[in-house]
Amino acid sequence: MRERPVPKDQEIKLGEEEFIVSKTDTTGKITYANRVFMEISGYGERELLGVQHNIIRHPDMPRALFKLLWDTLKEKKEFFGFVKNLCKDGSYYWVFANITPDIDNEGRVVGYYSVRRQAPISAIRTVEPIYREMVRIEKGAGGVKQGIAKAQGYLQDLLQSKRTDYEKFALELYG
Amino acid sequence: MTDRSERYAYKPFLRTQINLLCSGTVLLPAGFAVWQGVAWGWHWQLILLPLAMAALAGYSHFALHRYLDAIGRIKHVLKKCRRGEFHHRVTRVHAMGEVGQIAWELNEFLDLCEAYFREMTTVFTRAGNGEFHRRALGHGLPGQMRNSLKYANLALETMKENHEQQLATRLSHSLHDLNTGNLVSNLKLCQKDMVQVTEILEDVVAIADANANAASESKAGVDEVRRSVRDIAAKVASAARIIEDLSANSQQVINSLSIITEIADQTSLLALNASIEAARAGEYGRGFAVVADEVKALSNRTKEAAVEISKILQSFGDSVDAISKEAGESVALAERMQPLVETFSTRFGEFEQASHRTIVQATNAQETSFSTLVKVDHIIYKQNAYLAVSDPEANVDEGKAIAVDNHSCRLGKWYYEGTGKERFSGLPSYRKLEKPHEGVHRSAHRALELAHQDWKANRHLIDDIVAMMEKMEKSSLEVMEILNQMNEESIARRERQEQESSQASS
Ligand SMILES: Cc1cc2nc3c(=O)[nH]c(=O)nc-3n(C[C@H](O)[C@H](O)[C@H](O)COP(=O)(O)O)c2cc1C
Repeated sequence: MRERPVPKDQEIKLGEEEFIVSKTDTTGKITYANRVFMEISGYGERELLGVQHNIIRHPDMPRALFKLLWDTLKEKKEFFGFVKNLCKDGSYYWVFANITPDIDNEGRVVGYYSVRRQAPISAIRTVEPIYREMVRIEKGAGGVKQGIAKAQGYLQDLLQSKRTDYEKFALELYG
Repeated sequence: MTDRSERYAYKPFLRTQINLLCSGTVLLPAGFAVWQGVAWGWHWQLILLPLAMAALAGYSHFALHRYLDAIGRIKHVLKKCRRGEFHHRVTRVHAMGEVGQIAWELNEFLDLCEAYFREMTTVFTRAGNGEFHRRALGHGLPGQMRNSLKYANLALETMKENHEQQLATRLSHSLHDLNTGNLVSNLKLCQKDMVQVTEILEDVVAIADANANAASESKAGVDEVRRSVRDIAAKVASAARIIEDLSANSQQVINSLSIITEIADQTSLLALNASIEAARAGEYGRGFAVVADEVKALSNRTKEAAVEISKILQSFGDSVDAISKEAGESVALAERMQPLVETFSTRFGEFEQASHRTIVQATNAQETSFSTLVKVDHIIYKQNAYLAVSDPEANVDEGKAIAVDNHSCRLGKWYYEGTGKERFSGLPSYRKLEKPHEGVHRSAHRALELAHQDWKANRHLIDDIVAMMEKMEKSSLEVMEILNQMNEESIARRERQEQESSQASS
């Protein structure tokens, strides 16, 4: 396991027409990353292939959101979400991610495919405090599992009060 | 692979060429060195050039085969694309110059294709499941692809409208069918009630009619009685006058009798005197003749008095006759009144019974019509529920109207506080009403809650709403039946009590 970069407060912006693509196998190990991905994250192909996708996971991201991501994918559904990612040099970039399962002709999931687009600033402003609160809840809870459950409960309640779910919420923010 | 195009495929020409070139690069200097050695004698330096060339050939062979391998993979990916698989990519083409660039161009072209196809597939698959909020995202896609997604979104918009229209019609159709069926049977129940009320009222009218007839007959009787009574009064008055006369007459008799007594006294005294005189002067007998004259006069007066008495007694007898005649007439009058008075009493008895029955029937009618009112109210509640559920935004007032619980609606107030409790709480079916009534409210509230959700995006919600309304109707049917039962039980109970009290009185 390589050493994780130390996060720093420097944002890299994705261009409006730029488009990050990555593919993983069923366990989340990267099998393909496009050039925009490499350019922005700062990693070369050799550093990415065969490595878990959490290589770009940012500590500001709540774990509960990734649980939601994997739960959604396990149901063979697509996932939408705003994600803050960590570059090799410690800076960060926000994306609006869409992840879909790769399903072969027999209906088996053989991998996952992800397209990430520029996240609107207004959307980032909205989700940032929610994620911050979720991370706070996760850290405050007794264990990892309890933390995730509590943060998920918080998110659930928040969305329910707006009569929506995370996907609709995210799609609406994306506009 | 029986691909037709395969027949025209080039043989792997590059590979052969490279192999030939590399072999040539090794073999030519080696052959030249052998020829030199044979012709001019061996020298170790002769081996240097062939060795260097062999190394060069080896390296070229390795490097060129890497390119060839990459090209082979590019070809493989393109072949897959032709079969419609856009998820393959060419990786590990690091430092391969133009070949690497071609590989990346291919990869990124495929990224776009894959993104485009995935957008199309997911968007329409989800639309097929009624999820229209997922629109195709065209950001990052070039020209025609992006345009095509724009048109896809337009198509989705139309699909969504159609779908919503369809769902709306489906909801309103299902609700309408459910409602009409139930409304008709509900109204039939009310109609049955109204028929019953009408029949009862017909009875009441018949009783009132009979009462009126009996009353007019009774009035004739009363008139006769009044006339008879007036006659009796007149007769009694004349009897009183006769008796007055009678008493005046008897006074006269008494006066006359006292005169007679007086005369008798004087006569006896005179007779005494005469007998004394006759004894003293026998020869003076002529004095006796004077006395005798006096006695004669007295006896005349006595005779007159007697005549007078007999006359008076005569008129006395007449008076008594008159009285007894009057008395006889009075008795006859009284006798004639007797049967009249008797019919009166039976008539009044009948009146009393009839008015009792009128009260019972009128109470039955009142109860039944109130029960109908409660039913109609309940039906209105349900109609409001249908309106509110089929379009909660447009029918806010109806929504508010059905938000009340089973204690605060009219039926509830009637049942828990009002006449319903007062009159029916002793009946066996009274208790049975509470549960289904509560059920009606619960189901209506739940249906409205569901209707507030976005059923246009979820066809299962419509089924749930309709199912909830069906549940409401089922409970409501029970409510109606129990209301009927209560009404019937109450009427039966009243008839029974009526019978018992009439038995007790007879
Ligand atoms: C196709 C795909 C793309 C993903 N993209 C990201 C990403 O951009 N950023 C990220 O932090 N995690 C991403 N994940 C999730 C990671 O696999 C991982 O679950 C997450 O980083 C949390 O790490 P953890 O599981 O070690 O807690 C992706 C997963 C898949 C399958």
